[in-house]
Amino acid sequence: MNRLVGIVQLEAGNSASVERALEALGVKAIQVRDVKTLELCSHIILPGVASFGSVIDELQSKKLFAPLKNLYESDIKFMGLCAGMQIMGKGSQENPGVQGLGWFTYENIAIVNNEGSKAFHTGWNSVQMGDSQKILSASDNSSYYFNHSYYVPNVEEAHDDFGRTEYFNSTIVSIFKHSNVVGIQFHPEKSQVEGLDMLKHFVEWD
Amino acid sequence: MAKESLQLCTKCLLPETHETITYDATGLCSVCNNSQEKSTIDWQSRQIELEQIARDTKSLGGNYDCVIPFSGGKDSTFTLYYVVKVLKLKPLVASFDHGFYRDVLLDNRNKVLKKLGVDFVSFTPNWHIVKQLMLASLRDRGDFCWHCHTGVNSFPMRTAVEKNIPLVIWGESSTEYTNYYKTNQFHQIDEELFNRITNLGISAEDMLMRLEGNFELRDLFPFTFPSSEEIKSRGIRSFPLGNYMEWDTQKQVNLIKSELEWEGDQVEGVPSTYDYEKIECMMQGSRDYLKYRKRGYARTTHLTSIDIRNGKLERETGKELVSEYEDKRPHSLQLFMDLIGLTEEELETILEQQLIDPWDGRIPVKIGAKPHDYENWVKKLLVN
Amino acid sequence: MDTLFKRIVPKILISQNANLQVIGSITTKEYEKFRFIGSPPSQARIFESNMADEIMLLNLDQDLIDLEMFKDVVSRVSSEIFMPLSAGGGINSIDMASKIFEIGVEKIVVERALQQNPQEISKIANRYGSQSIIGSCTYWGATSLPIPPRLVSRGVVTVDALPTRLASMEQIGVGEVMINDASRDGTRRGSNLVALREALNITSLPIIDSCGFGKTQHFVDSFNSGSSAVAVGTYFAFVDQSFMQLRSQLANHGIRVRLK
Repeated sequence: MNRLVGIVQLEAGNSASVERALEALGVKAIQVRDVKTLELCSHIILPGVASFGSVIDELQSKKLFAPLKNLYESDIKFMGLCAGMQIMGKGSQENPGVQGLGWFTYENIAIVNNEGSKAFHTGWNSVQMGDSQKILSASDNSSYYFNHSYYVPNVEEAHDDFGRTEYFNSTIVSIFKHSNVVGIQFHPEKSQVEGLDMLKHFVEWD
Repeated sequence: MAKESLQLCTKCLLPETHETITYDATGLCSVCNNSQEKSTIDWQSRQIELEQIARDTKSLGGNYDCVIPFSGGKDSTFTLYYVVKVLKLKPLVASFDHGFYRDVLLDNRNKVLKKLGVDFVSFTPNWHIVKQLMLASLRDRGDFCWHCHTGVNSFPMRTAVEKNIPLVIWGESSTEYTNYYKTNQFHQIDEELFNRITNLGISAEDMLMRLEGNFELRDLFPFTFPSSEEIKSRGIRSFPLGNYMEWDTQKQVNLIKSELEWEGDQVEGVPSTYDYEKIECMMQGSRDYLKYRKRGYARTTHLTSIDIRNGKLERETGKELVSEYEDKRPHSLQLFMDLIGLTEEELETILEQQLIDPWDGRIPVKIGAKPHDYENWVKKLLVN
Repeated sequence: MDTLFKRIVPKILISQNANLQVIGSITTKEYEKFRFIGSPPSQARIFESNMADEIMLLNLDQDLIDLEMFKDVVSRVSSEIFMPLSAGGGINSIDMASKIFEIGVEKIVVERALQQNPQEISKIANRYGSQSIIGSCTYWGATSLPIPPRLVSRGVVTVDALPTRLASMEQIGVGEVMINDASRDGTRRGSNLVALREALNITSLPIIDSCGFGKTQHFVDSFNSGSSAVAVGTYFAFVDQSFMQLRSQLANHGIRVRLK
């Protein structure tokens, strides 16, 4: 299959920014709105910015939920960004009862600050790769832009082999890779050179 | 804060006000660290890459294989020599005339261009506009060289774009003395570099706004870098030769002196042994002086630091030279003020606003010696 | 612990240039327009090449620059950058906010609307999340002088009003607050650390400190006092220090900044 990158179009997503970032890298991506276009792609990016529930709702109403679900462990390379990463799990405290794609068993939980109230992780932070495998271009010396209030605490299937970011008392999974899937909690399309580099590595991933 | 209180590198003499400098836990500066890292790079494989680039461009069979930005100073002279004699490419040599070239430098250019046998094109911008830009740039940045920084970098690129020449080869890499790019990074001389390092954070469009309608955008065309689209659509590669070879200033200077009879000259504010650096510009002494007033260090610190780094000079000797030479007001400063139409008070008011924390601006009292070609500068510049 | 990097946020203040018939970027002094210093997309491009942390685009000319024109400038600025973008200037409805978010803005900046249309702002917080809103408060920090009448009519308050303003911002649902000392604006003589420390005692929201920054030490003091970010309109306009150069200096002072 020829390399073709598709970006799932969601109102609850920032597909335009991702498209522009890819364009800056010389990659012409196509906009995925239905199954037909989905099936043409070798690489799929799901960028989500709103709540867990609203992303799932939209995927369901656009009849993309089931087709996307089938992509796990296929030949297609998949990147879930921010909420797009979160919905690859089972569910989220944000919208109890709403089911994610279920590729992974994680449940998203709320970020809490020192006073015990809900907090946002909004701003630039670093990722600790430690001894974990190389995931795209992620490195301890880089900084990335985060913007979320729920997070993935662990990815069992990846056997603790992922990048982490500490924030207050939470250890956030900021990037992980398993089988044909990469999950990224931060926004590479808003993380300048280091973020764009990450997208470039994804697109070149065979 | 007097100079004695500025943090200096524990090895060389660069202070904390040097652009992009950082210090590691032992107090060793990033320039020294980068210099050590440079010696671990696989220069041989880079050499092979460079030779491939040369072969690729030759095979295109254009009128010219590359554009060489040229001033006639040590770096562009070495680069031109290397491109012609070693890479055996056919260059179009392009020079932006900022208006202040010195006689020895012009003689060097004449010699070098004739000895090497190359096509040469030069551009001189409107002198009225240059003077106004110098004043505007001085007011807003304490640096009167905006027209030169932008013009020198834009003209060769514009030449490459207009004549469809796919390669532009510059000289020294910015990573030699600054941290704008990582040492082992293959950075291009492109719009990003122009905006990050070259134009003092002011593009031609921005300068137009700052001059409040005294100019049209087309007046600032010579100082406008081509857009990324223009460059990418023609597939133009533009990089410093220093990406592909271990830069050795002393070796290179000796080479051009012996092979091309390139001659050095005396520069205001530096010891006479440093006769090879920045000999191009009449205003170099004044420019370095303004840097001293803003940041508390200047050319002698830079040059002695290089020698200290290479083990050719003791740190203490370097310090002595710095206090002897940097503490002098250049003879040419008055000429500069006359040229731009600036009084002493006006200059002082400008400089007060330009101090880079934590330097608080000690003012030298001694005045430097008159350069040997000074009278020619007066003749050439004060034309009304 | 808050592990986020400290941010420096260049402000691009837009205003109509009558001579050149374009929207230019401007600096202010004590909240009066001072000088045109550039073209907004060009400035954005330069900050992007310097790896700035975030850009804040503010419309100072809401009478002359309407929503459509504003969106156009926002769009042109947004297309130059791959970092977060905040935008503000007269946003007072969820309709306006959604149009601004659509074009790639992460956060809106609101000030007057917090007083005049607080329910609309709460609506925006509910739909888009509080982290999408920066609440701004401009005060007159020179307590020995009265607030100039021209600023009173623009809603600038005394320092005493700061606690109430901050409390109400939290209630309305903003995610971040920005405090601006108009008496120091464009003066480069230092920011108001007293007001900053008071604000830090009142609210646990991240604070963007603004107005008066002129030397590296000012940034160091503000960050060490506890601000999460510093927003600057004048700083980079008239001094020979670029964003990357400032960042290196701050790193040398031990401030936790992103370093290339």
